[in-house]
Amino acid sequence: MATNVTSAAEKLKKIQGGLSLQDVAKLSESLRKEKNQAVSGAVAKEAESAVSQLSALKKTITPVVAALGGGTAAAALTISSLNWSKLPKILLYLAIIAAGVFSTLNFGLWAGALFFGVLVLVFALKSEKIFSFFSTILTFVFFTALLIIAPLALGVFAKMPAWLLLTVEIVLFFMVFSVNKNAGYLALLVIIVFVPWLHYYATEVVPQDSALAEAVFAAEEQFGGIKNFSPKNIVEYFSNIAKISVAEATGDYYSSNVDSNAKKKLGVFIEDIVSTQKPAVFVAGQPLTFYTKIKAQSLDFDFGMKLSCEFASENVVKGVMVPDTIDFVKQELAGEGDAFDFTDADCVLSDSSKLLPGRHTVSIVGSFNFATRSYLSAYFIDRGKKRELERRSLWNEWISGLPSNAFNPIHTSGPIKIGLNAGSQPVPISSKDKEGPTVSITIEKAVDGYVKSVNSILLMLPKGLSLKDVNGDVGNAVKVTCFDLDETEQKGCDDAYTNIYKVDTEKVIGAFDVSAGKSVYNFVTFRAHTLIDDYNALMGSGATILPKKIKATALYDYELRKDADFSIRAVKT
Amino acid sequence: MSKNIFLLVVTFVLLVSCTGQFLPSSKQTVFIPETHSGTVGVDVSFLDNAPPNEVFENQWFELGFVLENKGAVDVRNGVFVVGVPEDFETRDSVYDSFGLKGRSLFYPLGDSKFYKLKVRGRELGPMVERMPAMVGVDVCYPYKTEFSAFVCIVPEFSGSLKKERVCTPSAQSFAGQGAPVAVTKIDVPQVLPHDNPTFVKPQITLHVKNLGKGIVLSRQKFGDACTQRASKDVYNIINIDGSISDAPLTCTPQQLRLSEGDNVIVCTAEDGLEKSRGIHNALVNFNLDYGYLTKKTKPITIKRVLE
Repeated sequence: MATNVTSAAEKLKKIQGGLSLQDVAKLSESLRKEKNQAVSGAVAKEAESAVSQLSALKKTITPVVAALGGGTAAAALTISSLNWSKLPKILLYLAIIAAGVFSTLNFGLWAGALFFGVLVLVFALKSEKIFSFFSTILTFVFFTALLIIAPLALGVFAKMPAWLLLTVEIVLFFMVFSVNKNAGYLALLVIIVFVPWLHYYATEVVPQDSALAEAVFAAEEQFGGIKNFSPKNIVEYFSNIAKISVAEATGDYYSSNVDSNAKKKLGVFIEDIVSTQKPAVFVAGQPLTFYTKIKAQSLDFDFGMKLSCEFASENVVKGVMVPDTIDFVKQELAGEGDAFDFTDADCVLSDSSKLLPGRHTVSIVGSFNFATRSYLSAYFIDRGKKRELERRSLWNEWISGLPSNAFNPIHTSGPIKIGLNAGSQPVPISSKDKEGPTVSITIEKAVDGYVKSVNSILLMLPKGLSLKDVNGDVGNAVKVTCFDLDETEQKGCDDAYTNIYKVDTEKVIGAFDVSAGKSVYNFVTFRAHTLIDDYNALMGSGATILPKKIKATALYDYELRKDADFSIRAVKT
Repeated sequence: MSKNIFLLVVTFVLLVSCTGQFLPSSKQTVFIPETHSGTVGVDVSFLDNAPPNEVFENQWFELGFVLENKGAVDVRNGVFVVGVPEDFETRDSVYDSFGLKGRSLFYPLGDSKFYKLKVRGRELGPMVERMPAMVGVDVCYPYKTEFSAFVCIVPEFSGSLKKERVCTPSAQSFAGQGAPVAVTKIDVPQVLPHDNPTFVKPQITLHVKNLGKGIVLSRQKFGDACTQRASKDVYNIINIDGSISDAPLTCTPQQLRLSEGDNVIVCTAEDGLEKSRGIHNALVNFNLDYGYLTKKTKPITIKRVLE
């Protein structure tokens, strides 16, 4: 509860410039409730201060809301008097509202009030020329924002692939031109300038640790896949969405959240491939050299990567990577903030005569092994106690004492994500039960690249719970100890608290498509049935249910690929 | 003019007598704590920074907490359990019994005791930077609500209209009585006929509610609530007994199962009161016996040690 008030007060401090009135109302209500329930002086003070800040803010909202409402009404009246057809009028009206709201949210209530104040003045003058000028500017601002923000948002949050985003962009452009051609041309100009800037400079200018950097980085990754635009990919994309939807509905797909406590983005990345000459046009027979940076971020284990490169032609021509293996040492990567390590790598083809004149693609491929971990807090309660609490209408109160998101699994960042589920929580058990909960594990590819092979999957159950079988077959997993694991996995491992099982990946992960070179949108779920072998160990002591951790680790070989186009022209004779 | 001066003087006298600020007083006031007020029994709170909000893996830290009896009743043989999840380890005992005096002249704020444990965050797994965890203290103890109030008993209706009444029967509302369970209301007292025509049976209807932030337990089985054991009849059970002018009251139900809604108990003086007492203010006393569970949790994040 104290955490909720503190986080609510922090949220209030982060509201800068812009306000969502709904947020203000909700926050104010929750803080008022928290204030009434505060038990410590410090928390009560913070809640009071937050509530009084909100009250002060609320006082400024009323006159501004009146100005916004007045401006909107004036805009509606004036637009309705124009001799335009219905659709452009509606679009213009929406553009005006969106621009006003956008400026309010980003630049503050006073900016929004000023915007609408000017609008009221303009409409009051009822000058067609001024109105036309403003409508062009507003439409331009609205659609430019839409053309930039919509694909960023769809790419980052909806994880829509770049080639689909391109389709969305094209549709939006047609909309812009249908409303106002001048605004459309202006928006197009801004896009042409903005996108290259985003590509070349944004990752260096924006703070690396910020949410904006994450969005920019993700957008970069998304747009990099734009050449995957093909009808086949469209079908595969939507069929995978359908598969996930069906699996979720039938209870065969379990998700997890990325560890939000891990501030660092971790993993391995291949930067864009750069040729030694710009433009990337070579003469037939000339040696070809391309280079890139391999970036490793926040890895706390020794890590080796094999590199290779190839040139796509009628036949695939192999190049030479210098170096062909890279070893990152864990000590060099650890540290506060983002820990990067870069290594340059060159791809050389000494004799390009093997490639015919024309367009070609160079690909640099990095293979490495990686691990993703996921953990789930499982809460066990005696079945009889649960019934008693329910009978006495105390169950909801009991559950509310658990942390928010208590039942959500967390997975570490990486190319694969692991979803965990232990059935309905808290898990009711009794001393007479033999069967424990069924633990479901879903493994899904998370980012670009290809899973070459899943080498091992470890399932760690809390003491008191043992594994009966995986997917109904007892031979699908074997019990191991911490000593049997490699040095990295031994970190934090304690046989006194955990039963560790190694899952037979060949038998269980057979359905997972690991073909390299193919865009993989696949996931696999398997179910581990458990037995209760020590009821008291699972129960613990005290009235508060304390969580037991269920963990899963997947170790796999992953392949990253980066492509770049270049041209070879024939020797002039 | 003289009228104005007179009015000023009167106003001045009224002000002085009401505030008393300008009249030096040689009396020394004695602070007598109001013991039977409030809705808190035993309160538990963690010490500042013990435990801290964040600890490093493999780091020892102190988990300290204070038990304070802020209610009116002494606690004997209460138990507490410190919830230390497997993300931590401790070599100290995580449970103990305790006793605390309630508020009184000698303990105006109630008695308090301080406990501490040494706890260590376990090593985090690979690639895990932070692990959110939670520690908690559960306190289960027997408690009592001691309630007293005057109620107006009118033994006979006839004739009372003409005479000047000492009191008028009415419903009354109450705030906390120095315990988490409180009598919140007494309905208008009723008077029932007795077998003996010179006696009447007063009937008191009271409303009871859990105003504290914890959970009401059975007085006999309160300790079970601080375990994961499943027991029946552990939660929301209150035993009631009372008296009116030293005559015992028979209450229905005698053992109340507390619910979220209105909890009503009807108590009748079966032995009766003499009618000859006439209209009078009778002192009613009620004792509500129960156990109580108070919980307190604190989130702690275990952080990675960076090499």
